[in-house]
Amino acid sequence: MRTDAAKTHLDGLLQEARRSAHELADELEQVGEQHDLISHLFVGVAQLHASLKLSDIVAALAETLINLVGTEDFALFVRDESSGRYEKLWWTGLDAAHLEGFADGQGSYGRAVETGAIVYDAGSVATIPLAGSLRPGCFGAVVMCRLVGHKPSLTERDHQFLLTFADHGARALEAAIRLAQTPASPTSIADLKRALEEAR
Amino acid sequence: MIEKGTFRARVAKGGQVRKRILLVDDTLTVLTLEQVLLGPEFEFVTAKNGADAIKTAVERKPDLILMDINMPVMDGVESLRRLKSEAGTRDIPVVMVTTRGEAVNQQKCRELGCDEFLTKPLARDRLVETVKRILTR
Repeated sequence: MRTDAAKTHLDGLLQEARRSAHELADELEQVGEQHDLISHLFVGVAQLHASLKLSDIVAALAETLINLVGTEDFALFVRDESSGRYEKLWWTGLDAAHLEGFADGQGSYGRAVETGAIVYDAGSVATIPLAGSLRPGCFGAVVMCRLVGHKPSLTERDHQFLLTFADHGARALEAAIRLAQTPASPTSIADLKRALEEAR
Repeated sequence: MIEKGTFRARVAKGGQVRKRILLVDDTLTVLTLEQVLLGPEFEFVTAKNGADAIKTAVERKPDLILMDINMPVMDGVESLRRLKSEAGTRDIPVVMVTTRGEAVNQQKCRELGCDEFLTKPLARDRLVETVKRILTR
């Protein structure tokens, strides 16, 4: 009897230990996934904020999408203030080369910039709206047409990454575009101090 | 002679000698990501193209090379061919990293003596597992 009771007790302990081991393994996997996501975000975001030159920002955006997300076919659209339409500013890849401009609300690309939410659909992998801070609404979008051949679909990490990346990408691009459009910036310390005073 | 900065970089907490990995890629994004994903357990040296990789491999004698295929000046395939034909570098294991996973490239690199293939975007688990497996063989 005592042997049976001891065996039952040990079986219970063993089951408990197995359950704990499974839970720890799950937690370890989750920590690994978080580490992966944070590493990708750190690298992608750091590059975006390393310069104010439009060409550098677009290069950082492209490098990130190619190397961290896995697409070599995508286009950057920016809103033309005179027409209100979104026109292609930069692209890479065959499908992206054939993309046309679009208006707010027009198709899935237009829906993304109208709602400010990333749109995933069958026609393209994703349309990532770019919302700046200088005026309400979106000033552009990145349309991802295709993923690289060995990647069947976006992962959960990609979805989370794109949310934060879109935000930082938009801020960096907006600042670079604004700077490129500004004819002359204050260069002396006195000018900079005056600009700061005006901002108070 | 101990090269400036090398001693501290090679010795980790607990006195263990870090393995030195040569990372070769023309983009800062990938060079940074590889270092972040692999972590402080390793010492890193970097090169921005295939020619630079050969020079750095001869000078710094890495324990492993992680090399991109598509690069300016000299691509990864040509760099791999030269590394494997030189007595001083032929025994260094090389892992090729590429955006495209074409069979042609893989076949060519394997014939030239590359140890493993990794495709971008890099996933931490796969990268760390591959590097540790090769370094502990």
